[in-house]
Amino acid sequence: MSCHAEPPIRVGTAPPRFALVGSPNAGKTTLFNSLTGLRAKTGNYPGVTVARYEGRHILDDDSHVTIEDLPGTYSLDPMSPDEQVVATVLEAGTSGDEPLDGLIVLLDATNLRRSLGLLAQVQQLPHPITVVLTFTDELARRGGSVDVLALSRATGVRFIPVIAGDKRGVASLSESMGDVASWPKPMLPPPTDPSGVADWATSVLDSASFRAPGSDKRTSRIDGVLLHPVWGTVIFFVTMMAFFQVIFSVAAPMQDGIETLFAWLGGVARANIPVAWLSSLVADALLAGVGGVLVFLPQIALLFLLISLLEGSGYLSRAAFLMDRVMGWAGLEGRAFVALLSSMACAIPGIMATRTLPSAKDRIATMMGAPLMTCSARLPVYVLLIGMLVPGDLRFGPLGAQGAIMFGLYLLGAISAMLSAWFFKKIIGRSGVGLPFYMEMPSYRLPRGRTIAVSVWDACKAFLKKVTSIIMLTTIILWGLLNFPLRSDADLQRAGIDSRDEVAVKAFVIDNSIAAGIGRAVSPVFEPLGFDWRINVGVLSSLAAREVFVSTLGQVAAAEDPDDPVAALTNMTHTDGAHVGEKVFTPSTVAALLVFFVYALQCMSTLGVMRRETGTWKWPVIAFVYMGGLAWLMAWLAKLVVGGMA
Amino acid sequence: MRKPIHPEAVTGEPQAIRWVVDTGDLPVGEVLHAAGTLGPMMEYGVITRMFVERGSVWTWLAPEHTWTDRGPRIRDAVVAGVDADGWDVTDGSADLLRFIADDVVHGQLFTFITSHGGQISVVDATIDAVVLDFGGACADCPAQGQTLHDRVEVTLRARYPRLREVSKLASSHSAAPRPRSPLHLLKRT
Repeated sequence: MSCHAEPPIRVGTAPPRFALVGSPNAGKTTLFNSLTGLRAKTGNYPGVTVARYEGRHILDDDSHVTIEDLPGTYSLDPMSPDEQVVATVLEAGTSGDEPLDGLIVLLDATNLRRSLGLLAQVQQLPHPITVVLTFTDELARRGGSVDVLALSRATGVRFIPVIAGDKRGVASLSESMGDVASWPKPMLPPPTDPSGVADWATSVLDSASFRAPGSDKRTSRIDGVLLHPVWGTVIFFVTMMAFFQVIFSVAAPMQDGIETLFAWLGGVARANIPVAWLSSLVADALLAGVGGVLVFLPQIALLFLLISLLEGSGYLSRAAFLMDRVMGWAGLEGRAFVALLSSMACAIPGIMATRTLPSAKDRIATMMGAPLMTCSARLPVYVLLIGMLVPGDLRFGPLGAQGAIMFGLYLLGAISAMLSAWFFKKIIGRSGVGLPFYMEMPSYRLPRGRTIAVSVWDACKAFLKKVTSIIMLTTIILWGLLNFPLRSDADLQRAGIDSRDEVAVKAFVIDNSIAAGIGRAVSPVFEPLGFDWRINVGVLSSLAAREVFVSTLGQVAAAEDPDDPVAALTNMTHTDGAHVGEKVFTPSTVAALLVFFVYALQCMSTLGVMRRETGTWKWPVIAFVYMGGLAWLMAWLAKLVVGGMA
Repeated sequence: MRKPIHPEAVTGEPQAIRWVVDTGDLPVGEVLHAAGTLGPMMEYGVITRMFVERGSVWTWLAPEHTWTDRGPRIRDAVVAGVDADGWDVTDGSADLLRFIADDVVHGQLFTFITSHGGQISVVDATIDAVVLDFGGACADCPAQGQTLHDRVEVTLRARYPRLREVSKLASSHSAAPRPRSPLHLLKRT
């Protein structure tokens, strides 16, 4: 690293490659987006940009260059897997495996002293460097200042100030990428020893007349309240409570609209498709089943809208800070909370965010907890079941009961996730001294409309993709399992069913289908929880993806009463066993189901990512088994408690 | 505690580095003999020329050496040397004043000067005076010219205390195109 060799010479005609290097929150992702037009999420806390992003940028002369957005890093010492990624890519860029033509280093003007430490390390590499100085507007707003040209002279590399939303900085960076040969190089690289680097940074800052930003008065006043151990926590819970109220009250009308649309489409399909089995496939499986999941699109959009509002305004970092104290009491590292927080959208980015943890033991402990955080896939299941449990107009004072229960489920998931991470950490053993953890407290900002729109759009797109791929596939397979074997009129007569009564025929077919056989086969396991074979099939099918539970129940209900599937579901009765004739969805069974979904690890993708990140099947298997067992036990307790209250 | 230090390139002098470091009470001028390990470096010809000004040390490396090789050791020698005894420095130097003046007008004050529509170049320097060509900037606006002149003079004197005067090139109405300010146009019509 210390030798100042010539950069690798490019062979062939591959477009020039540049890498973005910078600390988390230096504005890397925003710059990447405006350079490439590709969309990647911007975040306020470390661990957001974990995956490897590459994009194309078109220069003025219409030639293009490749831009790689490296994970945010505070140094090039490979302490955590994230920093390892950066070190590896830069190493490969030097050795010629994947040559890099230049590095674009992003430095946060409000955090210049620490940022220069990173620049000092990057300057040990042989690559040409250009620095993009971000947040100079915020520096000025907070009463700081810096002479950008003097910074260039003192460090020997070019500094280009780029302010988010201002195209001039990006244009000037774009221009310079077309002419790497003209990038200035320092006479000699900065020192490598820590105290030498500190002296160098001081000297550079002095000669650039750097005045550090005073703490933002507005931000510190707000923080005085929001980070207060008592008031802050109270406000946090009130915010979250309001959050879930909004998800129910605002999304409900839109949801009704989509529901009506799919019911109408189902009617049209049933009336106009002459082939019986095809009409059933389209109306029951595709429209009632898959459509039943699509109904939850407004909730998904709203969930991500609210999350990105909280994130973009800077509040999510405060929430992370508050919760970090709680994590601290449990002996967990702050970074682990960040991974858990990411899991609120989906456990997969959460598990990948554990890469920021330097200790393998902490990583595994966190991974064991992450899937318990309530991911967006649980949302449709929760909304459906809560709707059956309590009416929408039931209120506790100003709070809707549905939203309150939803909040409770999220809370239960979060607490369980932390307890589980704590438990696994105890078992696996301590990881020695915790390393310093930087959590940025950005000033409060108005969230950027474009970032929010992109985040909501990406979430909706991912949801639609999931609905039209794995969910649709599983639904069609289930339709097959629910409708085969086919029954002849002779079979029906023997069973005493009038073959002209379509509903009765359908009920008979389903009740004697392959799926019913499977559902009944596992019923000894779920019988204590009050599940009937249809719920069993739903639970089993949700192993592919949690939302399939909704589409399975949608199919069954539509078959029983195509005109009013919701009523059919509510009034569904046990067809066999000890409870024949009794309602299936009693409050205690619904509660048991809800709790079951809080704990069960019904997500193949999560297991796959765990396998990839740990390199062994051992941990996914352990996670699946322990969460399955826990789900059963907790569901059983929930049934007991709710049954006792009723 | 060690003194903060960093190197800056010298335009047009590829073998030179200006070390920005607190030089304390050292006299300002050309170095005849340097203190600490800088002394032998000069004697054996590794460093061929050296100046001290307020706040930096200028060093020229012999052509057979490169800064990437020698730089780190010279950096350490400069940091240790500025606090050591044994310096022999001339009282002022016309060459040094010229280098400093170039650095001020093209580097340190460049943003300020261009923001005033100016284009200053160094014409000549003696041991205590410097002649500058103010381009066309100040021809039509005496007040602005004086602002620029004063600012340059103050900045130069802070780095080179022996400076006696900064004079403008007599024929400042040079061939260089003048920036046209709205005021300028008004005057002509």
